[in-house]
Amino acid sequence: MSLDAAPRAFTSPQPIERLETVRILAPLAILGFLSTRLWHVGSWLTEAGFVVPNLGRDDYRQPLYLGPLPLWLAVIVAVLTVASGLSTSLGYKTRIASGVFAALLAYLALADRLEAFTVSKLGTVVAVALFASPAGARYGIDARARPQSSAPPTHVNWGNVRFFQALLVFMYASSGIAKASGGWLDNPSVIWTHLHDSYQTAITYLLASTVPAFGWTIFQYTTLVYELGAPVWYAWTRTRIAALMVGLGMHITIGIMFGPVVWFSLLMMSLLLASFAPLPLLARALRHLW
Amino acid sequence: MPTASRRKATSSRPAPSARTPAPQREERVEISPGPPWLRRALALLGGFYIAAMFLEGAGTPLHHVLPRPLLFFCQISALFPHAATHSIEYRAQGYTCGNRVVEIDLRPYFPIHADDKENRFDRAMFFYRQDRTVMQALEAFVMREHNRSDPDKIGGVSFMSLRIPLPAPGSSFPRYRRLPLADYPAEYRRVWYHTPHDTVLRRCRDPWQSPTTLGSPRRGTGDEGDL
Repeated sequence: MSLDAAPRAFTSPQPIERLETVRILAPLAILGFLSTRLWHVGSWLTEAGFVVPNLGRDDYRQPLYLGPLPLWLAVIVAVLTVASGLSTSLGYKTRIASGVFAALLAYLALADRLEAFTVSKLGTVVAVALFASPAGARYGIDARARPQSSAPPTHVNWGNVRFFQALLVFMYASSGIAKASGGWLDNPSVIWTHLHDSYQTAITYLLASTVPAFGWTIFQYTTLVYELGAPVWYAWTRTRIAALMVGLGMHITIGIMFGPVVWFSLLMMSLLLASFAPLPLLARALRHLW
Repeated sequence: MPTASRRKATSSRPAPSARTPAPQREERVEISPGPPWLRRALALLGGFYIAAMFLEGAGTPLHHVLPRPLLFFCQISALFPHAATHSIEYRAQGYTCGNRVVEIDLRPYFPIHADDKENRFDRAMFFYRQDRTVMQALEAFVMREHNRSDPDKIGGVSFMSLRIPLPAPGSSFPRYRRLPLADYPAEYRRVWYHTPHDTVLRRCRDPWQSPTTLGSPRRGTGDEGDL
């Protein structure tokens, strides 16, 4: 590829299947994460539960103080969050649904630091990106209502897909740098040290009891190489599929070994599949689904 | 999106040769909503967000550049950057008006992820264990909930972390399970907040306080002791 062709390829329209896969899968992973919180919404967003008081100062732990809600309003927020998330995933009134979903996710992330995790923040960003995109134009209820006479769209503007791809690879790279400077290079047992607390599952215990110590070290350095090199692994077509396999394998391992982190893994896997899975595979799966 | 506007926004374009992957079908591009300037602005915004997220995770602090609420959404990438030094749990004890010290089972009061470290008590201790204002609010909440349901009223609390040593790499170890506080040696405990003894006594003997209002400690007396 010539030098001037590379930017052109980057900014050329992208297959709509990638955007619609994010639209279908990501809200489900986000709702899965929120489900345990929404079930106890009274203990989360109202004074029936513990609420961090207004610290009244510039504090990284409280980027914005939003007071507790009355129970009836908290229930409405919970119901609307589920409805808008499902509606986005189904492609029903996608524009309105994704906008409402994004706004509610932003509120939930900011309203309470105690329940805000990476999924809360990354999920909000994904929902905002879906809102700003033409998601729902295909493979959803809205698209099914479209007259059969008009051909369905095949592509979307480059930014609607490139955003998710770039977000993923730079998120990995950034995480890799944080790990490399945080002790992953010096200490060969970092992963081992995280296997012993309340996140531990039966599978964690089984693996930790059977895999020798050097196995965890190999896993640790594989993760580090994968994350640090993610922009290269995914930009280079020869390494892309291998990188996808390693990434999916890593998130599956994390998901089954760290209890509640499974929703983060599922969100990352949905973004990985949407961004980098072979297009024929995605198209076939979506056609089968819709 | 209404069908009419979508049809209008959809265009057919020839495929440039450098496009990846090479389209096998007639290309119909669904244009993003909004005027061109808005689409360009959003693309720019997306690029800025990714740059901020990358820099923040890689160790370049941006809190002087970005407002806290925006920065908050950029802090998503630096996950598990350090080795754990211990397995850490947070626990609470109550000082009863019968002059006993009892472990308080907090799980009924913090039902979200009650059995793992994502529960609200653990999170509050993780973030705010050195913040007196939050610890006082947490004390008030725990006392309120405990005294509402338990006949053995408490006049104060202590909040602590348990620092449980990790097994050596590759060695055998027991499956994780939550044990009573009394099963752990005293040297595993570190108290971060406690109600002073005289405050406990005052709350318990105050005839104006019912057992329920025992759960609302006075604020601003300045006698809550060191954290």
